Amino acid sequence: MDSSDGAVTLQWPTPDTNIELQQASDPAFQHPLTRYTGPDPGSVITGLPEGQHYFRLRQVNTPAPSGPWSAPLEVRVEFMNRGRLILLLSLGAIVVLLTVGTIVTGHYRTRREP
Amino acid sequence: MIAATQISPATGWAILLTLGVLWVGLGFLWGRKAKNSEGFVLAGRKVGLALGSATAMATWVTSNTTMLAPLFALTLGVWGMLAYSTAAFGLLLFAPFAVRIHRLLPKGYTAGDFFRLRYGRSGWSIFLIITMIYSLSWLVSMAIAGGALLQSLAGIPYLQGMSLILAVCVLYTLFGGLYAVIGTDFIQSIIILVGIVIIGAIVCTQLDFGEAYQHLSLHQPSLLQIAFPAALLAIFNNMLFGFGEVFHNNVWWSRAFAMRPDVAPKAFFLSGLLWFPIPISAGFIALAAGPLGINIADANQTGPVVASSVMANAGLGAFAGILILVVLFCSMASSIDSLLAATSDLLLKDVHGGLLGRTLPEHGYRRITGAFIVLVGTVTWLLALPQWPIIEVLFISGPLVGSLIWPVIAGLYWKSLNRPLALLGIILGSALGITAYFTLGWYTASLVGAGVSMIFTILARFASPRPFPAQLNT
Repeated sequence: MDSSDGAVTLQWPTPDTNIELQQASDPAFQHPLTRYTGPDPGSVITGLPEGQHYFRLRQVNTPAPSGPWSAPLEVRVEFMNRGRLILLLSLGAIVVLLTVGTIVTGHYRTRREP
Repeated sequence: MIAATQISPATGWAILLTLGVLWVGLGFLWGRKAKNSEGFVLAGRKVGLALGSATAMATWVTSNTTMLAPLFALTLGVWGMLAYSTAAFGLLLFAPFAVRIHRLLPKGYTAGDFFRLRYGRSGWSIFLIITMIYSLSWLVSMAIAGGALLQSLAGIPYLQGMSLILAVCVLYTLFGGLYAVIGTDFIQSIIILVGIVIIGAIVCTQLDFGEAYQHLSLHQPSLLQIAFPAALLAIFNNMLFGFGEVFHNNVWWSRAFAMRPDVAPKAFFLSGLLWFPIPISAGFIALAAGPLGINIADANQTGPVVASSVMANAGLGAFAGILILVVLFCSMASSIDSLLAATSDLLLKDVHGGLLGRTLPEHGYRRITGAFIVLVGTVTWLLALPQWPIIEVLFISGPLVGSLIWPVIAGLYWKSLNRPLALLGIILGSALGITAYFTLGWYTASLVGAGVSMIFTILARFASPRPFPAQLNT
């Protein structure tokens, strides 16, 4: 799964029990981070930095043993390349400045017209 | 983890029916002021500063503001909140437009009058297609959001909730015309402002800002990143989307015609200033989701879920649900009524009167305008029935409305233009903007649409321009 803005929506079938969702930066989950534990059927993850991220989940059957982990899901976050970003930001700045400038000068030029 | 609160269906129905009866009753009462068609459609062209500012602000506080501003903050961080707020600049810039509109079209009725007289039948047709796609998708997206919200917050079945919200707005617009729309907008704007301030204040009391910053830095670092590409581009994109929405849509033109000429520019400027902090207040709470351990399962429900969760945690469970429902109901009603009125006016004047060449008899205007309001309401209801993701259509309409920005500016302030070239710019801007939406990202679509149209409109000023008529007589 790819993301260009660091956001990803993870969904799974409505569980019978609680779900534990973990995130890690490696597929072996050596340093996992629990992102969610509860009964919801999904989670919107945002603000991820560029790079590879891995997610896995399992059913938590307290006090019985928890279920097995799912296969890891790989999410690749890659922001827009800097060249294209600068080009589009420049275009945005030019369009906005010209739009505002044209309206303001148009207003002052025509405000005394009958 | 914090669990979101819910109110009972009985409480939900009680709130909806109480507000519904209030709005319809006020609509009936205010509608008696309308003595002729101009009174009904344009509130007698005598709207003052307080009502004018309030109606412009309340109309712009849509369910999209209260629902999407938190989503912008959740996905784009601090820049995202600011990006949504830049839509206020559309209202600020409409202030000088209002001066010019009153001068060029002293007896104007709709935005369609302007496009017809400036760009001829071709430009008028392009405008009608774009504005109908945009207005209907805005209207339907709000009806769907209202139904979905009532279902998730109060357990009211989607069809019943959506139908009730729409029926209430149709009824009071039908009874009271623009008098009712503007009057109810005034009350609704006060409720929305007070509600958002209360919710924001409660979130502030529940949040340790130092811990929140640390949590975001560790788990959601992009939300605090200054050079976050999607967020930076969203600032320009949303600003231009807002310009396009306000500059072309009859919701704003009809308000300009309804306000007194000396009042209109001040009212639009004031409404822009008042509106600017609202998306920041509404969006800010979403940044608290991660630090407070609130799971967002459905991105479209970010605002209500975070607000109700935080308030429930503060021991305000039932009150939280009621307050959120009232604020969101007001924000939806204040936009749905305005769109119903403005879109039906456009159909009445531009399609019924313009394209079909029918006249509006003064003695039967209520029946005909009423028929158009019911027609728009019915079409909206039918399109909202399947609960399809029309919000995507609304987003995709960004480049369409963005490509109308420069033709509106040129028509208002320039003396001559190569009109076919400017119209070609609208079509190419729309097409390339939609292409950018799917290939570069949603946060570039309006920017590309507006940019392409701008280039063509500037070229049209110098390449074989033909003069506009000095005065536009409707």
